[in-house]
Amino acid sequence: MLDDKLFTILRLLSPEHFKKLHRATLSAFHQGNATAEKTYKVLSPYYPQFELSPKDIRKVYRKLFPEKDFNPRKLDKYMNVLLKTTESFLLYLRLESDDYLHEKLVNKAFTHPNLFDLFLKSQAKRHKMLDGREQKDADYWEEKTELYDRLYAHSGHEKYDVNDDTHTQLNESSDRFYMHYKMSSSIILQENEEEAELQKGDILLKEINTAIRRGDYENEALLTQYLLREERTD
Amino acid sequence: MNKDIKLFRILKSLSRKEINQLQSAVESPLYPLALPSQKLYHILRPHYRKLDSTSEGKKNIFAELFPGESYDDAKLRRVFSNLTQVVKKFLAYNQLQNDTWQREKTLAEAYEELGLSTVSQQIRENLYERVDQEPLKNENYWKKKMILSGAQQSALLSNQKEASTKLAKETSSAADHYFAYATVRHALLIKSKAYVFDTPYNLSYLEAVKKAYKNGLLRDDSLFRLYVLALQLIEEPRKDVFFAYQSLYFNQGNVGYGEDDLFLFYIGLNYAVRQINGGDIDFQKLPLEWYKFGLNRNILLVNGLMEHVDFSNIVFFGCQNNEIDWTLTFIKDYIKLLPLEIQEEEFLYSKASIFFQENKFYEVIDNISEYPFSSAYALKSKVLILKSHFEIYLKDSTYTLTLISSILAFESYLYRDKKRTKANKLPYINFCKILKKILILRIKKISKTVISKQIRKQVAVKKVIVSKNWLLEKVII
Repeated sequence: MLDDKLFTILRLLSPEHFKKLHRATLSAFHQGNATAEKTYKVLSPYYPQFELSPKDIRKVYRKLFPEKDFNPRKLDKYMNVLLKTTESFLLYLRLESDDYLHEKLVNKAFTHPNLFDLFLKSQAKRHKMLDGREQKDADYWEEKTELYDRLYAHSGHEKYDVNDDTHTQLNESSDRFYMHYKMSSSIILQENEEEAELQKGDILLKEINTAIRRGDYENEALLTQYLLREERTD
Repeated sequence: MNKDIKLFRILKSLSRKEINQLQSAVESPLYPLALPSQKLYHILRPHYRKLDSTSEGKKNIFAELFPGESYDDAKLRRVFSNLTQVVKKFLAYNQLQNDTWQREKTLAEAYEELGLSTVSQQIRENLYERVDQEPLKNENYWKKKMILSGAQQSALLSNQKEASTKLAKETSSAADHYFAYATVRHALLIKSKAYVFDTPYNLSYLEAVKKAYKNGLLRDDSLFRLYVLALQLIEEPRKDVFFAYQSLYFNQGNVGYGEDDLFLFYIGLNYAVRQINGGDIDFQKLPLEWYKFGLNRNILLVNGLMEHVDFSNIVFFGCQNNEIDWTLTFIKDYIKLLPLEIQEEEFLYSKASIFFQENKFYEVIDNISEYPFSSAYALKSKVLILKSHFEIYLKDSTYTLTLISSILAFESYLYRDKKRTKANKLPYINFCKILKKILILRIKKISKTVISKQIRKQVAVKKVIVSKNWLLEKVII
């Protein structure tokens, strides 16, 4: 009976977003269709509480299916259609509010061979946005790795230009990306005191620890912190 | 610098399906677009692959958009700009919808932002299961596993020690697998370049990864084994390593190697080509075999298109192996899979290559000498013409002057060309120098043995020479 998930989301939408959802139901591009629009209209008087009594549910049903006997399955089907549109709408909202994500996806679309200059501009924008972030965390290095990887793979990229160091940057970003995951999981394992023996044989972890201790990542505050935490748990 | 209007260039890059889908975005109430911009889409759509960026073209569009009004460039630019914004939104949204991983991750974030952590967690768990079922356990697979188990780990409460240990083990293991793949792949890129330019490099963790591999990490994984062999091909380029690599690569199962396929393909192919360039005749047939394998497995198509370099190489190796009928069929079947703007010149160049192989040297010259080739084809087409002139000269010594003037004209063209880098032109400059030298020695009636000795010496010194094998063939005739 009536989709809890749908109502939970609808309750949490701001009045502005709930109103905008109506436009999404009218947008075929965002999985909108006549069913979603009709369901939205019938349910909208219940915004924002969406506390429907059994009587309300019957009322909703009659509005959706006049002259038909009550069939909860049919009602569920309509709710699911609106849920699908709503999820597409949430993705739309995310893209509207997250400039970095938007640029990342545009960048991906610009991998066409004839759009190399636009691709490069979009890459520069992404680098600038990333470098403006406060923390160089795992997410930061994941994005950097993806950026260099995508550039390297682009057919317009001069891989064999002697001054090009994309492959080195790619390697260094990927090292750091890995280290964040490796170090954080190793700390948990050590804290849980179950993995001490296993850790001793971990060649890669040993190598990373040595590199951090040697000062190879002096400017990487987060990585150094991992080591400090790790030392405390020793 | 491309002078084409940005909007036109983006539209031209779309597939037929995408340009049709764009209509629903242009008409979406979520992308409020002024009527002229909507109208602009409908004007451009029917001939979107042949849009005209000239001022005349823009004036025609303006006249259709605003009938009766006098041309206003700023007004037209605004309409273009509005539509460009919606096209970019369309592209971003489409990318998101077509990429399950990114879409589900974004949806999980959206739910989290709404405060619905349980739903978000559920999406991540479903995604984890889906990733787990992926048939190919490659770098990307392990990266996704690492990220998802790491995210699940962060969502745990501090008292869930058992679950926490399990997830930390999973994260750590997935991270190691990802890292091993990434490190070896990056080492391949770095070492390949260092091999060409003799530049220093730093691969801090490669030895540790090799040691971990020896100790069992990814030891039974055939894809990783290919990467390890590929690395060996650079570190100790032995024939037995190549044949082990080739055998493992050609015997990939039905699953194939997915996104790694093309990368691994070029490693094998390039090795075989290097051996031919080094004069090893055992490898003569192998590049064409590799290409045939690549064509059968559809490895060579990216976004439905083939790189013109691959196309030209296939024609070259087809001709070299005297498989003329097969090559003609290939040209017929695949020419349409090249970007539209180069199809004509590639077709002409390929046909000329076949004429050359069939010793129809006058046909080569007649077919391509007057054609206005683009920069990408200009040099290689001139080389083919020069080679044809030389072949004619070998049979008819009265042709000497034509040949000399052709070589000099090409040399002068190369020195005048400021758009290309010196490194880019060097193989062609060297080609001219050696061809000239052969010609001079022949005119001086120097013995063939001496010519051969001198030219081989010069080839060894110059190193980067286009059509090196053909030049060497010419001195033993």
